[in-house]
Amino acid sequence: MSITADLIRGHTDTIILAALMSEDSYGYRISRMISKQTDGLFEMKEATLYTAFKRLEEQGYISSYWGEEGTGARRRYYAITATGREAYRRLMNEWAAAEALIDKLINPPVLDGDYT
Amino acid sequence: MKAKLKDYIEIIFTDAPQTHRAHELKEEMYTDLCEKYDDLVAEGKTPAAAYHAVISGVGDIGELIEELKKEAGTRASEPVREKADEPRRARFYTPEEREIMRKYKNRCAVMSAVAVAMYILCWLPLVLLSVLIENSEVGSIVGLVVMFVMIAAATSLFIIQGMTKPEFMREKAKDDDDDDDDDDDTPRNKKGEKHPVYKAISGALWCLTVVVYLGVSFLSGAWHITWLIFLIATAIDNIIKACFELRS
Repeated sequence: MSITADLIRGHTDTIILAALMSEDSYGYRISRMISKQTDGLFEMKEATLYTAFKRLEEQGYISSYWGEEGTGARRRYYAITATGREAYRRLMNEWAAAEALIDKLINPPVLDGDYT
Repeated sequence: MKAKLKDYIEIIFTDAPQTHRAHELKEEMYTDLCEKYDDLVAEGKTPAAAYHAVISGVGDIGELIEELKKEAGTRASEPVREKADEPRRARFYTPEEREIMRKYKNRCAVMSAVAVAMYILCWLPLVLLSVLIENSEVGSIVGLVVMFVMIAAATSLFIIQGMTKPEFMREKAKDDDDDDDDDDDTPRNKKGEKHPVYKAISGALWCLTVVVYLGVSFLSGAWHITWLIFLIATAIDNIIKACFELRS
């Protein structure tokens, strides 16, 4: 599991951007969505999540605002920006390219006549 | 349990700079963690189990703290210096607490203003009445009574302020005291700590004693005996002190 977690960690930004593609959201809702989507197999640590929020906001990929809740609690919402959507598409393309490449590299080469 | 969550956040943010951004982050985390906690309890977890699940999900925020520090450092050095003057371990407040605090501060401002005004003007009725009313003895007695009433009212305003201070603000004040005492942590500091309400009452008592002493002495002219008032006041002060110590 920890190795899987390491692999996924490299794609934290893509995961968060993906979560924000359809609608604005806040920290806990995103992390709940992630664990639901993976049937509880992967849970993003709050530390990872907030660090990513901060980084993405600095890069201009997302923006944040305080939303008032009925109960009087303030909640910080995040929204994806136009550059963020662009970055998401780029990251998706990168992932597709990497996936294809890694697939080729890690599948055992079909032994053909040359090696016998 | 939510208070424990808040404490936990305070602990993991101990090394964070006291910036606005860090404050916001703490608030954001608190609302998120509370919601997670509520969800877990709703799923049937015990409060303790839910608390531990929430805590273990937070992870290592070291990197986040480093980011915050960098951010605080890269800003112009002036504002950072300003921030350093803020209370060392400024607690963050939940929205409800902030609202209560705002109301309390407004109320305190009004009460203090009225009380100080009464202290300043309390001699006025005495002087006015003795000048205006022909029979000066009645005038001065009425004036004196009005003066005492004003002083008593002003003093009780201060006492009420101390007693209605929200619990969480008292905790903070105590935390700050503890921080200050860190360098000379003698037992005296722990033992000599006075109850804030007692301090207020005691202060008021001595003011009133002086007023009563002067008032009674001038009116009766019995200076040879009125000093006993101070002994009585000392007795009352000690009785009040005993009451507070018994209660705590």
